[in-house]
This record gives sequence, C-alpha cells and structure tokens, in this order.
Amino acid sequence: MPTSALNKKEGSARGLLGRRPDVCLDIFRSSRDAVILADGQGRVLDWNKAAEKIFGYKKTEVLGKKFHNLIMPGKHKADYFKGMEEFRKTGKGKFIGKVYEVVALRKSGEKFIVELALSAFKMDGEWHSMGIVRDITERIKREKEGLFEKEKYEQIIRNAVDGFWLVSAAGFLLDVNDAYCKISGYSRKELMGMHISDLDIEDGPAAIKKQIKEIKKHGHLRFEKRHKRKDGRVIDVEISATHLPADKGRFYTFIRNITEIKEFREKLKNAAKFPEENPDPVIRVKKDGEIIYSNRASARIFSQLKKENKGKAYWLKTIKDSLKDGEIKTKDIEIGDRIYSFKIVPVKRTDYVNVYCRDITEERKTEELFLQTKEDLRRAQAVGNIGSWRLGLESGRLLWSDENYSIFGVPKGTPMTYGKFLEIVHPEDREFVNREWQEALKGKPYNIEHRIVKKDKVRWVRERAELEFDDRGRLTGGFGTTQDITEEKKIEEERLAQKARYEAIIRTSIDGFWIADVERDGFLLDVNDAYCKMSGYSREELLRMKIVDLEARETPEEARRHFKKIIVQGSDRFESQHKRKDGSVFDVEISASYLEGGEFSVIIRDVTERKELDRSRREFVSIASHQLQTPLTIIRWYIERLQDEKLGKLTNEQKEYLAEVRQSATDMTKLVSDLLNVSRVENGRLKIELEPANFKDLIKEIVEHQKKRVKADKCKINIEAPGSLPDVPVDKSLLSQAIGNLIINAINYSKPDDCRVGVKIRKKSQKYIISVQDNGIGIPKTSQNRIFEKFFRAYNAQRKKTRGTGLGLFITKKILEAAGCDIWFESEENRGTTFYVSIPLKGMKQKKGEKQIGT
Amino acid sequence: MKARNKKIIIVDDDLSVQKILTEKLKCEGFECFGACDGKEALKIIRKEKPDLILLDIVMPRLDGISVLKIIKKNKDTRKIIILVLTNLSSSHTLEESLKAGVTDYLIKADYTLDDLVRKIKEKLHC
Repeated sequence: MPTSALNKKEGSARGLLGRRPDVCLDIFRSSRDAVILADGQGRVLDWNKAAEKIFGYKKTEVLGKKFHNLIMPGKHKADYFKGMEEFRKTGKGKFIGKVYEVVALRKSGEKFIVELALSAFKMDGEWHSMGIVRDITERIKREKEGLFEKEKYEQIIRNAVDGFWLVSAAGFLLDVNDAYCKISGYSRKELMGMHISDLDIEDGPAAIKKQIKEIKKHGHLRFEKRHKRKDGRVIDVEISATHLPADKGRFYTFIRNITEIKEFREKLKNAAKFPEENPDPVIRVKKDGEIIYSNRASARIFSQLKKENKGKAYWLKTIKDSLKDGEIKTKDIEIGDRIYSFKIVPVKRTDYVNVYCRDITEERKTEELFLQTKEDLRRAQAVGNIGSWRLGLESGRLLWSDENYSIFGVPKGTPMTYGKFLEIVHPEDREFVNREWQEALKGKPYNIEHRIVKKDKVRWVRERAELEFDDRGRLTGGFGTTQDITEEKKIEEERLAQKARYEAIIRTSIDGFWIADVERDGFLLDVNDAYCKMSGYSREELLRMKIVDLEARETPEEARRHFKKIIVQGSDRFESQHKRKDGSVFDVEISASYLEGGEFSVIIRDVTERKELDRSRREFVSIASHQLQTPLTIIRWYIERLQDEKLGKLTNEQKEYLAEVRQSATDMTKLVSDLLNVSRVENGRLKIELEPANFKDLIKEIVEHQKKRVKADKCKINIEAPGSLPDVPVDKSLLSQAIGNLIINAINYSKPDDCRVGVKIRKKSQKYIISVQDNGIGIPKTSQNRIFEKFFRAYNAQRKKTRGTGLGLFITKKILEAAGCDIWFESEENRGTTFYVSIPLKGMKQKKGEKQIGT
Repeated sequence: MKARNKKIIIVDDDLSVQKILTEKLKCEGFECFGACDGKEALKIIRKEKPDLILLDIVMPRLDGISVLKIIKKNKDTRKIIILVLTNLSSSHTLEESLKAGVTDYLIKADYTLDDLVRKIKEKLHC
C-alpha cells in the first residue's frame, strides 16, 4: 500500500488507517479477497463483495448465520469446533494469526481451495474473528501444472531409453541422462562439460558450429550421426535437437542409438525387396477388397484378370471366407493359355489376406502328362496283358498293378508277399522259380517263363525283373513285369509240333530234300538222309557243296540261269540228272521253290527206276509194235503177191477171200500203229516239230493222199480257202494226220451214192479254222459226248462196213491239244457232221518228244 | 526193162521178208541178193557192189544204223542208194539214219509191194 499520503508528524505510529478509519471501510469493500467478520459463535457480522463473489452468497443471505454451516466443508468442522471453545475464552487458536490453505465450500456446493488468514479482535469485551479468504484455485492449478510439467519432463528424461543432452549454445554438454551414459559408455561426470565434437566422429567443432546454426534456424532438426563410444566402438545415432531460445539459447537433444535399427532397416529394406524380387504376384488385400500391397509382378496378373472379368467381386467371398475360417483357400484360374493358382492366406489377427499367385501351367501339364502316362501305362498293361510289380523293401510287400492281379487271378488290392506269390506258382515250377529269384537277388538277370495255377487252370507267364542295388550291393528295391503267355505258348507248342512233323516228314521221306542258298551257286544249307543215300555223299560232305557241283545235266552257267527262272516264277518242276560221289549219274525229278529270304527248298526224286520203267515200256511198245507189224507186213505182202496172180490165177471167190484177209491185215496194221501213237500221245512223248506251211497246199495234199488211200474217186471233195494265206508254223505230219483222219471219216461216213465233203479254211481274229463237212450218217446225240473217247465208235458207225479202230479221234484230239489247237464238231444224225479244227494265228506249239510217224 | 542189171541187196533178218521181196523184185527185173544181218550185208555189198540197198534196222550182230554208217564211210560204197525199210517208227532212229546219210526211210507198214517197187524205181531213175 502506498504510503505517500503519510504524514510523518501526525501519528506516524498510528498509520493511515488509525487516522482515517473510512479508508478501512473502502479497503474492506474493494478488496479482491473475501473478508468475513464473525462473532465468537461464528455468526457472520460482515461479508464483503469479494466474499459474495468467491462463495456465491449475498451478504443478506449470510448475515447472522454461522459461517461454518455455509462455507466450511464437513472435513474441517471437527477441528473448528475444537478450536472454537478455546478461542471464545482466550481469543487464541491453532489457526489464529496464521495463513493456511483450506478447502472451502461455495454456495453451489463446489469445494475449492482457499488461503485463509484468521485473526481475532475484541469488541465490546468479546472476542471476534476476521477471516481473509483468497481463492487460490487458479494459483494451485498453475503451480500444480508447473510442478507437474517439470516432474513429468524430469521423469521422462530420466527414464528415457534414448539419450538426452542439455547442450549449451556453444555445444557443450550441460546435462545428460543415464541412457546416454549407457549408450556412450561414459559416466555422467565424464560427459558433463564435453563438447559435441568429442563424441561425433565425423564433425569437428567448426562443423558442429554450423550445425548448431542450422538447428537455431529451423528451431528443430532431426538427423543421423555417428558417435564414438568410450570403448572406441562407433554407433549410429539419430539426433533430435530442439533450440530453446528462452533458455539462454540452449538445446535439448535426444540421441537414439539406431545402430541395430539401421541394421534392421537394411535387412528390412532387403527383405522388403523380397516380394518385389518375386517373379510371381504377391498381393495383400483387405477384407473389403482393397489392395494394400502388390508387387511388381502383380501388375501383369491384374491386367489379365481384368480381361477375364474377374474383378473384386469374384474374390471377395473367398477372402471373407478365408479370414473367417482362418484357412488357406486356393483358386485355380485359366487366364488365356496359362493356368494360375491363387493361394489366399489369411493373416492372423488382421483383416487382410496375402495372396500368392503361381503360374502352374507347366506343373499342370506335367501333372496331366503324369496322369495320362499313368493311365496309358495302366491301359498298356491291360491291352498288352502285362502286369507290373514293385518290391517295397521296408515292408517286404510286393506292390502289384491292377493288371498283375488280373493275370494271377488274385482279387485286386490283396496285399501280396513273395511267399503268397510262390503259392500261385505251379508246384512243379516252384523250385525253379525260387532258385531263379535267389540268383536274381545276387544280381543275376531275372527273365523266366513258368506256369501258375489260376483258378484251377494252368497258365504260362513270362516274368522279367530289374532289381535295384546300392553301391554295396544290397537290395534296395525292384521292378518287374508279368505277361500271360499261355496263348503264345500254345501257338509255340503248336508251331514246334508242326515243325517236328515237317521235320519228321522230311527226315523220313524217301525223296531227297535240300535247303540251298540262292547265292553262292546254291550252297547247300541243309539236306536230308534220303539225299545222302541217293547221292552217296555224307551229310557233312554235302553241306560243303553247292547245287552246281551236283547238277549233271546243266552247266553251272545254265544252272545259274535256271535259278533266276525259279526266283522269278516262284517254283519249277523239271527233270535233270545228278552226279553221285562215285561219279555215276542218276535221273532226277526236281521240284524247286523259292523261299522269301533268299533260299531254295528243293525236293529231289530219284526217277532212275521210273525212267527205266518208262524206257522199258517205251521200248516194249516200240518193240511190241515192231514185232506185231512184221508178221502183218508179211501177211499183206504175200497176199498182195497172190493177188497179182503171178503165182496162179484165182477164182473170184479166192480173190474175195484174199481181199478180206488183206483188209484185216491192213486194219491190224493200222491198229498197231494207232496203239503206238496212243502210247506216245498218252505219255507225252509226242514230238511237235514246226515248219512254216501253207494251209491251202497242205490241205490239198492231204485230200489227195486220203482220196487215194480210201480209193474214193467218186467222192467230191471241195476245198474252200481265202485268197492268200501266210505260211503258218505247223507240224506238217501231225496236221496231215489230224486233217487226214477227219477227211477219211468224212469220206467213210458219207452217203455212199452222194459223197460230198467240204473242206473250208477260214481266218478269224485269233485263229485259223479248218472245217471238214460231210453229209453222212451224222453222230447221234447220245453218242456225241463220247466221240473223242478211246476205242469208242458210235453205233451207227459200227453198223457201217467201215472198220474203224475207235482211236482216230482220240489220237487226233490229243495231238491237236498238245500242239495248242482245238477240235470240236457239230452233227445231226442222218444229216451230216462238221468237224472244226482251230489253229492259233502264230501256229502250233513246239514240243520235245519222239515223233510220231504215222499214216 | 531198164531195171536189168540193177542190183538190189535186201538186208533183213526175217527170211520171209527177204523171200517175198526178192520174188517181187526179181519179177520186176531186178537182180536181188539177201543178207540176214549186218555183217553178212557188208560182205555181200563189198562183193556185189549193188545199186540200191533195202536196209532193216533191228538185226542181230550188227544193226542197220551201224551198217549204214560203215557203208557211208567207205568211199567205195558211199554212193550206193540206201533205203531203210523197217517197222521201227521211232523218230530217234529216223534222225540217226538221216544224219548218217540215208536216202529215204520207209516204214513197211505203210507200203504195199507195188508202192515199194514204185519207190525203188523212182530212186533208181528207171
């Protein structure tokens, strides 16, 4: 309070208020603090404006009322009453003359802190109190805050993991916390007073100064530095420095040891690259479909998914389900020509999933190929009736394929062991099979055929196995196949049986047999016993020889040509002669075939005997006919002589008789001649020799000759032929005989009083046709089919006086056919007959043999 | 008759044949000699030097073909006309005879006596 108004002379001892009590009242009224006057009972005697404001009671409300009921909270009341008694008596109390903080009560009921100064005064002989109350709520608050702040910060700093410096404006450490001591390895004492540059390994004082300037400029700066520890180790730190301009330009600095973090961050950076390095898409998707992260490779997939119209909606359900179940979901999708597998992996305790995508096209292809191969294998086994098995060593179990079960007749899936397998093997073969298996276990190849008993039937199987051994030769596993070869075996047995049969035939054959090489002049590859016997050589000797060595009729050159002919034709049958070991030659009939593969199969028949027989027969026929002809000739000639009447005149009757005899002799002569010809023709020994001949001339000749022979001058024989005919190669005598025979027949069987024979020669497209026509007795229908038979004469011909042998047409037909010609006829009884002979344009066929010289 | 002085030798082992032929030919004016086998034939041929020989084939001691060959080899007898007269109708014999130089090959069964005489006269140009 100002004391300017003091008057030192006038009662300076009384002061201003002593002299001017009205000022007191003003002070009472205008004081900001509440002033309360109360009597010894605590009844309010006065209450200023401030009290009204602070406590909320109007003066009128409180006057005369006990203040401890109004403004004192229950808490204090006990103490108050205790002190009250004493105060009334003495005016003294615990709280009188002191200033202390108490809790007071406002009218609103709110409790608040006040500063109370209580004093006592006597008035009218009684003690009264005066209380000056200051609402210190705000002040308390401020103090508290201030205190709190300070404490807070002190605590923070003290307990921080990070290091803390209080640094002077020049860069000296004023204060540090424990954490920094720990970080740096220095003690607090050592650190206090150090300069930043003592700890910073990169920056010297000048650089630090610059840095401080920077911090000052920005007010706050954060940067990384490298500090040196007491033990010399270097650490990476992160500095957070704040400038305190108000606090003498000091800095407070937080220092974080980020060495580990830096390392970790590096690792993380690298790790973070990881998904980026992944060539496959890696995506992190939130429950609602929002993509939190996608690596580089994902872009490709996104564009493709978009093309395929598989957007968010497509995935949402799966993602939701995955998160709900906590299970990994897989989706395989075809995009274009590739197949991708999406793995949706829920991340625990989050609302997002990681999606890993992989191109499984190749995998899928391989899988499909594998399945296909597996299926193909199964099918192949089924189709080929081949089963397979695997030996699993650990279990000693045999793992059989379906087909294998089928082959052995065991229900599919039955667990198999070696023992069980042996039981199926045929009892007689068990020892063999077991032996082979034991050998196989030692490394010998296992490839056997044996019997099994399948549902009471015996079947043959072929087993092959490959056993697997490790480096030390111990069995590690095995793989085998089984094939039912029963059918094969049957066929094989059949084949062997057949082979045996043929071999037996060849071996026991009387005829010789060769297999010879087409090359090397017919080198003999195999011969049978019969040929050895025939030829006089041993088998060993023969197997060193060639066909050309044995062939006696053909020269080696001719033989080689003959081989070629056989190869071209496939086979040939012919006669030849072979040389025996002793040099003698024997007649053979050969039947040779060319076998694919360059071999001849040759059957050799020794026809010496037959040839002998033939020769004998031929000779016999020759001799017989010769022997028969001789006496016949004599008969004829002697009778002719008699008929000459040089030996005496004859009566008519005698002449007649002689004529008969002569005719018979002539007939017999013809018969014998015909028989000889029949023999030749039947045995294929007829020789056909060709020379170019003019048909017309030839026929004329024949006609003349025959006319003379049968003395048929009365017969009119007419010859009709085209103007010019080329010369045709024919056997003149044969043709003469054939046509001659026909003409004789025509003459003989003609009407006796009207003998007309017509001979026509015609040229057709492929052949010449010579026809001989008569108007005679004809051939009855019933006889027509027998007309060419040996000794056959139709009954109407027999009736006639002509003496036929019945051989003429037989011989004629045989001759003509041998020469490649044809003969046929047309006839009607009593009208006439026409015989036709056709000769090919190129002429008759040549034939080797013995010529038939006939009439 | 121009046939006079023509000598014919008939070679045949059958006497009946010889007889009838000789008879017929003599009647025709030929001079005839007979031989029963080849050896005899050669003797007579050398002795009589015939104009024509009728030669059978099948004969003992020496057959007709051999005789034929011998006759043809001998320059004295080479030119004699030889007619084989046989009942053997084998083409083999015919070929051999022709090869040996026979003038003609006649089969008895085909000829009457008259035919024969005609043939002989024809070959002798008389």
